[in-house]
Amino acid sequence: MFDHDDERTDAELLAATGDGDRTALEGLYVRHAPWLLVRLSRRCADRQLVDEVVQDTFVAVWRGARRWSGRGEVGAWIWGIGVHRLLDRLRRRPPSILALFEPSALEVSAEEQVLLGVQYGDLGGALDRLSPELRAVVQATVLDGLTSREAGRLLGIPTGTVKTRMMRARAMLREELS
Amino acid sequence: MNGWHLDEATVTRYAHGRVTMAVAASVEAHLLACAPCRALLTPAVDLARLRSLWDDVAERVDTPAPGLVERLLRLARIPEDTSRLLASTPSLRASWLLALGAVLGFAALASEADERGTLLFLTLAPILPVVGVATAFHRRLDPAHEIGLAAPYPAFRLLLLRSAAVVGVTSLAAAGASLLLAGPALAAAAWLLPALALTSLTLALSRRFDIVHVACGVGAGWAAAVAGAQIEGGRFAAFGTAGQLACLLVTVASLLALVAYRDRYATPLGGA
Repeated sequence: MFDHDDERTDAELLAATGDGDRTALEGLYVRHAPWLLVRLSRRCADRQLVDEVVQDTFVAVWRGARRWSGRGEVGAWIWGIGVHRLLDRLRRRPPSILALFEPSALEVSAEEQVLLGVQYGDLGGALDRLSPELRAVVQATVLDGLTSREAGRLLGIPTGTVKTRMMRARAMLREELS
Repeated sequence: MNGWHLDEATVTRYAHGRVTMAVAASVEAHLLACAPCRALLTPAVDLARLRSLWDDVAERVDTPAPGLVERLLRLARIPEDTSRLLASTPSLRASWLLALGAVLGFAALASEADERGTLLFLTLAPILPVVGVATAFHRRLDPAHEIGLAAPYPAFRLLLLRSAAVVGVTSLAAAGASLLLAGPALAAAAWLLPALALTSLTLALSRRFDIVHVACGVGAGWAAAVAGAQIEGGRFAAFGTAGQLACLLVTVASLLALVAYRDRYATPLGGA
Protein backbone atom coordinates (compact mmCIF):
# COMPACT_ATOMS: atom_id res chain seq x y z
CA MET A 1 0.00 0.00 0.00
CA PHE A 2 2.93 2.35 0.57
CA ASP A 3 4.59 1.68 -2.79
CA HIS A 4 2.21 3.68 -4.97
CA ASP A 5 0.72 7.11 -4.50
CA ASP A 6 -2.77 8.22 -5.42
CA GLU A 7 -2.63 10.88 -8.12
CA ARG A 8 -5.34 13.04 -6.65
CA THR A 9 -4.50 16.08 -4.51
CA ASP A 10 -5.11 16.08 -0.76
CA ALA A 11 -8.21 18.22 -1.15
CA GLU A 12 -9.64 15.88 -3.81
CA LEU A 13 -8.89 12.85 -1.66
CA LEU A 14 -10.61 14.45 1.30
CA ALA A 15 -13.68 15.33 -0.78
CA ALA A 16 -13.84 11.74 -2.08
CA THR A 17 -13.46 10.45 1.48
CA GLY A 18 -16.47 12.53 2.42
CA ASP A 19 -18.42 10.73 -0.31
CA GLY A 20 -17.52 7.39 1.23
CA ASP A 21 -14.55 6.44 -0.96
CA ARG A 22 -12.39 4.07 1.07
CA THR A 23 -9.42 4.16 -1.32
CA ALA A 24 -9.32 7.94 -0.87
CA LEU A 25 -9.02 7.51 2.89
CA GLU A 26 -6.24 5.02 2.26
CA GLY A 27 -4.50 7.57 0.05
CA LEU A 28 -4.68 10.16 2.81
CA TYR A 29 -3.39 7.62 5.30
CA VAL A 30 -0.39 6.76 3.14
CA ARG A 31 0.51 10.43 2.89
CA HIS A 32 -0.29 11.69 6.35
CA ALA A 33 -0.04 8.83 8.82
CA PRO A 34 3.81 8.69 8.87
CA TRP A 35 4.45 12.28 9.86
CA LEU A 36 1.47 12.31 12.22
CA LEU A 37 2.86 9.25 13.97
CA VAL A 38 6.30 10.85 14.34
CA ARG A 39 4.93 14.18 15.47
CA LEU A 40 2.64 12.62 18.07
CA SER A 41 5.46 10.38 19.28
CA ARG A 42 7.47 13.51 20.08
CA ARG A 43 4.69 14.64 22.40
CA CYS A 44 3.78 11.38 24.03
CA ALA A 45 6.22 8.61 24.81
CA ASP A 46 3.50 6.00 25.28
CA ARG A 47 3.69 4.05 22.02
CA GLN A 48 0.37 2.32 22.42
CA LEU A 49 -1.41 5.56 23.15
CA VAL A 50 0.10 7.17 20.05
CA ASP A 51 -1.12 4.21 17.98
CA GLU A 52 -4.63 4.66 19.33
CA VAL A 53 -4.55 8.40 18.59
CA VAL A 54 -3.44 7.81 14.98
CA GLN A 55 -6.32 5.36 14.54
CA ASP A 56 -8.79 7.72 16.18
CA THR A 57 -7.63 10.54 13.94
CA PHE A 58 -8.18 8.68 10.67
CA VAL A 59 -11.51 7.29 11.82
CA ALA A 60 -12.45 10.92 12.64
CA VAL A 61 -11.21 12.01 9.20
CA TRP A 62 -13.46 9.36 7.65
CA ARG A 63 -16.50 10.45 9.61
CA GLY A 64 -15.86 14.17 9.49
CA ALA A 65 -14.41 14.64 6.01
CA ARG A 66 -17.44 16.68 4.99
CA ARG A 67 -16.77 19.15 7.77
CA TRP A 68 -13.49 20.32 6.27
CA SER A 69 -13.92 23.95 5.30
CA GLY A 70 -11.78 23.61 2.18
CA ARG A 71 -9.44 26.37 3.30
CA GLY A 72 -5.83 25.85 4.33
CA GLU A 73 -3.72 22.72 4.32
CA VAL A 74 -5.30 19.30 4.72
CA GLY A 75 -2.24 18.36 6.77
CA ALA A 76 -2.89 21.14 9.28
CA TRP A 77 -6.51 20.04 9.57
CA ILE A 78 -5.43 16.46 10.28
CA TRP A 79 -2.90 17.65 12.86
CA GLY A 80 -5.61 19.68 14.59
CA ILE A 81 -7.74 16.53 14.90
CA GLY A 82 -4.75 14.47 16.01
CA VAL A 83 -3.58 16.78 18.79
CA HIS A 84 -7.09 17.06 20.22
CA ARG A 85 -7.56 13.29 20.08
CA LEU A 86 -4.29 13.01 22.00
CA LEU A 87 -5.64 15.39 24.65
CA ASP A 88 -8.89 13.38 24.83
CA ARG A 89 -7.01 10.13 25.35
CA LEU A 90 -4.73 11.71 27.95
CA ARG A 91 -7.70 13.03 29.89
CA ARG A 92 -9.19 9.56 30.06
CA ARG A 93 -5.92 7.77 30.69
CA PRO A 94 -2.90 9.69 31.95
CA PRO A 95 0.27 8.30 30.33
CA SER A 96 2.44 6.01 32.35
CA ILE A 97 5.53 7.81 31.16
CA LEU A 98 5.81 11.57 31.25
CA ALA A 99 5.30 13.19 27.88
CA LEU A 100 8.46 13.70 25.98
CA PHE A 101 8.68 17.29 24.93
CA GLU A 102 9.99 18.61 21.68
CA PRO A 103 8.89 21.52 19.57
CA SER A 104 6.34 21.90 16.83
CA ALA A 105 4.23 24.53 15.13
CA LEU A 106 0.63 24.57 14.07
CA GLU A 107 0.98 27.31 11.52
CA VAL A 108 3.65 29.72 10.48
CA SER A 109 3.11 32.00 13.44
CA ALA A 110 4.80 35.22 14.41
CA GLU A 111 6.71 33.36 17.09
CA GLU A 112 8.02 30.97 14.52
CA GLN A 113 9.14 33.68 12.18
CA VAL A 114 11.21 34.82 15.12
CA LEU A 115 12.58 31.31 15.59
CA LEU A 116 13.44 30.87 11.95
CA GLY A 117 14.91 34.32 11.50
CA VAL A 118 18.33 35.26 12.71
CA GLN A 119 17.63 38.93 13.26
CA TYR A 120 16.93 38.49 16.96
CA GLY A 121 20.03 36.58 17.74
CA ASP A 122 20.12 33.07 19.08
CA LEU A 123 16.50 32.49 20.11
CA GLY A 124 16.70 28.80 19.18
CA GLY A 125 19.71 28.38 21.43
CA ALA A 126 18.03 30.37 24.19
CA LEU A 127 14.99 28.08 23.99
CA ASP A 128 17.17 24.99 24.18
CA ARG A 129 18.84 26.36 27.32
CA LEU A 130 15.53 26.57 29.15
CA SER A 131 14.87 23.82 31.68
CA PRO A 132 12.82 20.91 30.24
CA GLU A 133 9.76 21.94 32.28
CA LEU A 134 9.74 25.51 30.98
CA ARG A 135 10.51 24.38 27.42
CA ALA A 136 7.58 21.96 27.51
CA VAL A 137 5.22 24.78 28.44
CA VAL A 138 6.57 27.09 25.72
CA GLN A 139 6.17 24.35 23.18
CA ALA A 140 2.63 23.44 24.13
CA THR A 141 1.28 26.99 24.35
CA VAL A 142 3.31 29.01 21.87
CA LEU A 143 4.21 26.42 19.24
CA ASP A 144 1.33 23.95 19.42
CA GLY A 145 -1.17 26.74 19.98
CA LEU A 146 -2.92 25.04 22.88
CA THR A 147 -4.74 26.95 25.62
CA SER A 148 -3.27 26.92 29.13
CA ARG A 149 -5.87 24.36 30.13
CA GLU A 150 -5.15 22.04 27.22
CA ALA A 151 -1.42 22.38 27.77
CA GLY A 152 -1.89 21.47 31.42
CA ARG A 153 -3.81 18.38 30.41
CA LEU A 154 -1.14 17.35 27.92
CA LEU A 155 1.66 17.84 30.45
CA GLY A 156 -0.24 16.52 33.44
CA ILE A 157 0.10 19.74 35.48
CA PRO A 158 -2.47 22.25 36.78
CA THR A 159 -3.49 25.21 34.59
CA GLY A 160 -2.06 27.67 37.10
CA THR A 161 1.34 25.99 36.90
CA VAL A 162 1.29 26.31 33.11
CA LYS A 163 0.72 30.05 33.46
CA THR A 164 3.47 30.66 36.04
CA ARG A 165 5.96 28.55 34.09
CA MET A 166 5.12 30.46 30.93
CA MET A 167 5.77 33.75 32.75
CA ARG A 168 9.11 32.51 34.02
CA ALA A 169 10.11 31.23 30.57
CA ARG A 170 9.20 34.57 29.01
CA ALA A 171 11.26 36.46 31.59
CA MET A 172 14.27 34.22 31.04
CA LEU A 173 14.10 34.50 27.25
CA ARG A 174 13.81 38.27 27.47
CA GLU A 175 16.88 38.40 29.67
CA GLU A 176 18.91 36.12 27.38
CA LEU A 177 18.03 37.99 24.22
CA SER A 178 18.35 41.56 25.43
CA MET B 1 7.20 27.18 -1.27
CA ASN B 2 10.23 29.42 -1.23
CA GLY B 3 12.77 26.86 -2.39
CA TRP B 4 13.70 25.97 1.17
CA HIS B 5 13.36 22.21 1.71
CA LEU B 6 14.41 19.60 4.17
CA ASP B 7 17.27 17.22 3.48
CA GLU B 8 17.10 13.55 4.28
CA ALA B 9 19.62 13.75 7.11
CA THR B 10 17.58 16.39 8.98
CA VAL B 11 14.34 14.46 8.45
CA THR B 12 15.90 11.26 9.77
CA ARG B 13 17.34 13.02 12.81
CA TYR B 14 13.94 14.63 13.42
CA ALA B 15 12.14 11.28 13.15
CA HIS B 16 14.45 9.81 15.77
CA GLY B 17 14.11 12.76 18.11
CA ARG B 18 17.67 14.03 17.70
CA VAL B 19 17.11 17.67 16.79
CA THR B 20 16.85 20.78 18.93
CA MET B 21 13.58 22.48 19.66
CA ALA B 22 14.08 25.24 17.10
CA VAL B 23 14.93 22.82 14.29
CA ALA B 24 12.03 20.54 15.14
CA ALA B 25 9.69 23.53 15.10
CA SER B 26 10.73 24.50 11.60
CA VAL B 27 10.62 20.90 10.39
CA GLU B 28 7.07 20.47 11.64
CA ALA B 29 5.86 23.77 10.23
CA HIS B 30 7.40 22.92 6.88
CA LEU B 31 5.98 19.38 6.82
CA LEU B 32 2.43 20.68 7.13
CA ALA B 33 2.82 22.65 3.93
CA CYS B 34 5.16 20.52 1.80
CA ALA B 35 4.13 17.15 0.40
CA PRO B 36 7.53 16.11 -1.05
CA CYS B 37 9.20 16.64 2.33
CA ARG B 38 6.42 14.67 4.05
CA ALA B 39 7.21 11.77 1.73
CA LEU B 40 10.84 11.89 2.91
CA LEU B 41 9.61 11.00 6.38
CA THR B 42 7.87 7.77 5.36
CA PRO B 43 11.01 5.57 5.20
CA ALA B 44 11.90 6.64 8.74
CA VAL B 45 8.71 5.08 10.13
CA ASP B 46 8.14 1.38 10.81
CA LEU B 47 6.05 0.20 7.85
CA ALA B 48 4.73 -2.87 9.64
CA ARG B 49 3.39 -0.62 12.39
CA LEU B 50 1.72 1.69 9.85
CA ARG B 51 0.17 -1.28 8.04
CA SER B 52 -1.23 -2.83 11.19
CA LEU B 53 -2.61 0.56 12.25
CA TRP B 54 -4.29 0.89 8.86
CA ASP B 55 -5.88 -2.54 9.28
CA ASP B 56 -7.39 -1.35 12.56
CA VAL B 57 -8.59 1.90 11.00
CA ALA B 58 -10.15 -0.02 8.08
CA GLU B 59 -11.89 -2.36 10.47
CA ARG B 60 -13.32 0.48 12.53
CA VAL B 61 -14.43 2.34 9.41
CA ASP B 62 -16.16 -0.75 8.01
CA THR B 63 -17.98 -1.69 11.20
CA PRO B 64 -21.51 -0.30 11.05
CA ALA B 65 -22.29 2.07 13.89
CA PRO B 66 -24.65 0.44 16.38
CA GLY B 67 -28.11 1.95 16.63
CA LEU B 68 -29.57 3.73 19.63
CA VAL B 69 -31.25 0.63 21.11
CA GLU B 70 -28.07 -1.38 20.81
CA ARG B 71 -25.95 1.33 22.44
CA LEU B 72 -28.41 1.61 25.34
CA LEU B 73 -28.35 -2.16 25.81
CA ARG B 74 -24.55 -2.13 25.85
CA LEU B 75 -24.58 0.65 28.42
CA ALA B 76 -26.71 -1.66 30.54
CA ARG B 77 -23.81 -4.16 30.40
CA ILE B 78 -25.63 -6.57 28.12
CA PRO B 79 -23.13 -8.59 26.03
CA GLU B 80 -22.51 -7.45 22.47
CA ASP B 81 -24.01 -10.48 20.70
CA THR B 82 -27.14 -10.43 22.83
CA SER B 83 -27.72 -6.71 22.34
CA ARG B 84 -27.28 -7.09 18.57
CA LEU B 85 -29.85 -9.91 18.54
CA LEU B 86 -32.31 -7.88 20.55
CA ALA B 87 -31.79 -4.72 18.54
CA SER B 88 -32.44 -6.57 15.29
CA THR B 89 -35.78 -7.92 16.55
CA PRO B 90 -38.41 -6.54 14.15
CA SER B 91 -40.97 -5.98 16.90
CA LEU B 92 -38.60 -3.83 18.94
CA ARG B 93 -38.22 -1.22 16.20
CA ALA B 94 -39.32 2.34 16.72
CA SER B 95 -42.13 2.04 14.13
CA TRP B 96 -43.46 -1.07 15.79
CA LEU B 97 -43.31 0.47 19.26
CA LEU B 98 -45.08 3.59 18.02
CA ALA B 99 -47.89 1.47 16.58
CA LEU B 100 -48.09 -0.44 19.86
CA GLY B 101 -48.34 2.81 21.81
CA ALA B 102 -51.08 4.09 19.49
CA VAL B 103 -53.17 0.92 19.84
CA LEU B 104 -52.85 0.93 23.62
CA GLY B 105 -53.55 4.63 23.85
CA PHE B 106 -56.77 4.38 21.83
CA ALA B 107 -57.88 1.32 23.78
CA ALA B 108 -57.25 3.13 27.06
CA LEU B 109 -59.20 6.14 25.76
CA ALA B 110 -62.08 3.86 24.76
CA SER B 111 -62.17 2.37 28.22
CA GLU B 112 -62.68 5.85 29.63
CA ALA B 113 -66.01 5.93 27.81
CA ASP B 114 -67.76 2.90 29.25
CA GLU B 115 -67.35 -0.70 30.37
CA ARG B 116 -67.37 -1.99 26.81
CA GLY B 117 -64.25 0.07 26.19
CA THR B 118 -62.56 -1.44 29.24
CA LEU B 119 -63.41 -4.90 27.94
CA LEU B 120 -61.90 -3.97 24.59
CA PHE B 121 -58.68 -2.92 26.30
CA LEU B 122 -58.53 -6.08 28.41
CA THR B 123 -59.09 -8.26 25.35
CA LEU B 124 -56.55 -6.42 23.22
CA ALA B 125 -53.72 -6.09 25.73
CA PRO B 126 -52.91 -9.85 25.92
CA ILE B 127 -52.96 -10.20 22.12
CA LEU B 128 -50.34 -7.51 21.51
CA PRO B 129 -47.37 -9.48 22.90
CA VAL B 130 -48.47 -12.50 20.85
CA VAL B 131 -48.38 -10.43 17.67
CA GLY B 132 -45.01 -9.01 18.74
CA VAL B 133 -43.51 -12.44 19.30
CA ALA B 134 -44.87 -13.77 16.02
CA THR B 135 -43.40 -10.78 14.19
CA ALA B 136 -40.06 -11.27 15.91
CA PHE B 137 -39.57 -14.64 14.22
CA HIS B 138 -41.34 -14.35 10.91
CA ARG B 139 -39.08 -15.03 7.97
CA ARG B 140 -40.23 -12.03 5.95
CA LEU B 141 -39.95 -9.56 8.79
CA ASP B 142 -36.80 -10.64 10.59
CA PRO B 143 -33.79 -9.22 8.71
CA ALA B 144 -31.53 -11.75 10.40
CA HIS B 145 -33.77 -14.71 9.66
CA GLU B 146 -31.53 -16.46 7.15
CA ILE B 147 -28.45 -15.75 9.22
CA GLY B 148 -30.31 -17.29 12.15
CA LEU B 149 -30.94 -20.46 10.14
CA ALA B 150 -27.26 -20.84 9.36
CA ALA B 151 -25.69 -19.56 12.57
CA PRO B 152 -24.46 -22.05 15.16
CA TYR B 153 -26.54 -20.35 17.83
CA PRO B 154 -29.01 -22.25 20.02
CA ALA B 155 -32.43 -21.57 18.51
CA PHE B 156 -34.14 -22.09 21.84
CA ARG B 157 -31.99 -19.46 23.50
CA LEU B 158 -32.80 -17.03 20.69
CA LEU B 159 -36.48 -17.83 21.11
CA LEU B 160 -36.49 -17.15 24.84
CA LEU B 161 -34.29 -14.09 24.56
CA ARG B 162 -36.37 -12.30 21.97
CA SER B 163 -39.71 -13.38 23.39
CA ALA B 164 -38.73 -12.17 26.84
CA ALA B 165 -37.66 -8.82 25.43
CA VAL B 166 -40.82 -8.41 23.35
CA VAL B 167 -43.15 -9.50 26.13
CA GLY B 168 -41.30 -7.27 28.59
CA VAL B 169 -41.52 -4.17 26.41
CA THR B 170 -45.14 -4.82 25.42
CA SER B 171 -46.20 -5.52 28.98
CA LEU B 172 -44.52 -2.36 30.23
CA ALA B 173 -46.41 -0.35 27.62
CA ALA B 174 -49.69 -2.05 28.50
CA ALA B 175 -49.05 -1.50 32.19
CA GLY B 176 -48.43 2.18 31.48
CA ALA B 177 -51.66 2.39 29.50
CA SER B 178 -53.66 0.58 32.16
CA LEU B 179 -52.71 3.29 34.65
CA LEU B 180 -54.89 5.57 32.52
CA LEU B 181 -57.88 3.28 32.99
CA ALA B 182 -60.72 4.79 34.96
CA GLY B 183 -62.68 1.53 35.19
CA PRO B 184 -62.75 -1.03 37.98
CA ALA B 185 -59.52 -1.74 39.84
CA LEU B 186 -59.19 -5.22 38.35
CA ALA B 187 -58.68 -3.72 34.91
CA ALA B 188 -55.22 -2.51 35.81
CA ALA B 189 -53.77 -6.01 36.13
CA ALA B 190 -56.35 -8.44 34.78
CA TRP B 191 -54.72 -8.62 31.35
CA LEU B 192 -51.33 -9.73 32.67
CA LEU B 193 -51.95 -13.47 33.19
CA PRO B 194 -53.90 -13.82 29.92
CA ALA B 195 -50.96 -12.14 28.15
CA LEU B 196 -48.50 -14.65 29.60
CA ALA B 197 -50.83 -17.54 28.81
CA LEU B 198 -51.36 -16.53 25.16
CA THR B 199 -47.68 -15.84 24.54
CA SER B 200 -46.41 -19.08 26.05
CA LEU B 201 -49.13 -21.05 24.27
CA THR B 202 -48.11 -19.48 20.97
CA LEU B 203 -44.47 -20.37 21.53
CA ALA B 204 -45.30 -23.92 22.57
CA LEU B 205 -47.52 -24.51 19.51
CA SER B 206 -45.04 -22.93 17.14
CA ARG B 207 -42.88 -26.01 17.43
CA ARG B 208 -45.32 -27.72 15.06
CA PHE B 209 -46.98 -24.92 13.10
CA ASP B 210 -46.02 -21.66 11.44
CA ILE B 211 -45.80 -19.07 14.18
CA VAL B 212 -47.95 -16.51 12.36
CA HIS B 213 -50.74 -19.04 11.90
CA VAL B 214 -50.45 -20.01 15.54
CA ALA B 215 -50.59 -16.37 16.62
CA CYS B 216 -53.74 -15.75 14.54
CA GLY B 217 -55.38 -18.87 15.91
CA VAL B 218 -54.50 -18.10 19.51
CA GLY B 219 -55.68 -14.50 19.16
CA ALA B 220 -58.98 -15.57 17.60
CA GLY B 221 -59.48 -18.26 20.22
CA TRP B 222 -58.89 -15.75 22.98
CA ALA B 223 -61.40 -13.28 21.52
CA ALA B 224 -63.96 -16.09 21.19
CA ALA B 225 -63.36 -17.18 24.79
CA VAL B 226 -63.87 -13.63 26.07
CA ALA B 227 -67.06 -13.26 24.05
CA GLY B 228 -68.33 -16.66 25.15
CA ALA B 229 -67.67 -15.96 28.81
CA GLN B 230 -69.43 -12.63 28.44
CA ILE B 231 -72.63 -14.35 27.27
CA GLU B 232 -72.39 -17.01 29.97
CA GLY B 233 -71.55 -15.02 33.05
CA GLY B 234 -71.57 -11.26 32.61
CA ARG B 235 -69.28 -8.69 31.07
CA PHE B 236 -65.92 -9.42 32.77
CA ALA B 237 -66.47 -13.15 33.36
CA ALA B 238 -63.31 -14.10 31.42
CA PHE B 239 -61.22 -12.02 33.82
CA GLY B 240 -62.77 -13.43 37.00
CA THR B 241 -61.19 -15.97 39.30
CA ALA B 242 -62.01 -18.92 37.07
CA GLY B 243 -60.63 -17.16 34.00
CA GLN B 244 -57.39 -16.19 35.76
CA LEU B 245 -56.94 -19.75 37.02
CA ALA B 246 -57.44 -21.12 33.53
CA CYS B 247 -54.83 -18.69 32.24
CA LEU B 248 -52.40 -19.75 34.91
CA LEU B 249 -52.91 -23.40 33.97
CA VAL B 250 -52.34 -22.68 30.29
CA THR B 251 -49.18 -20.73 31.12
CA VAL B 252 -47.71 -23.48 33.28
CA ALA B 253 -48.60 -26.22 30.80
CA SER B 254 -47.15 -24.28 27.86
CA LEU B 255 -43.94 -23.49 29.72
CA LEU B 256 -43.54 -27.13 30.69
CA ALA B 257 -44.08 -28.16 27.08
CA LEU B 258 -41.55 -25.55 25.94
CA VAL B 259 -38.89 -26.78 28.33
CA ALA B 260 -39.62 -30.44 27.68
CA TYR B 261 -39.22 -30.05 23.92
CA ARG B 262 -36.48 -27.41 23.97
CA ASP B 263 -34.19 -29.56 21.82
CA ARG B 264 -36.74 -29.72 19.02
CA TYR B 265 -36.35 -26.02 18.29
CA ALA B 266 -33.45 -26.84 16.02
CA THR B 267 -34.16 -23.98 13.64
CA PRO B 268 -35.57 -20.56 14.42
CA LEU B 269 -39.31 -20.31 14.21
CA GLY B 270 -41.39 -19.35 11.24
CA GLY B 271 -38.91 -20.92 8.87
CA ALA B 272 -40.91 -24.01 8.08
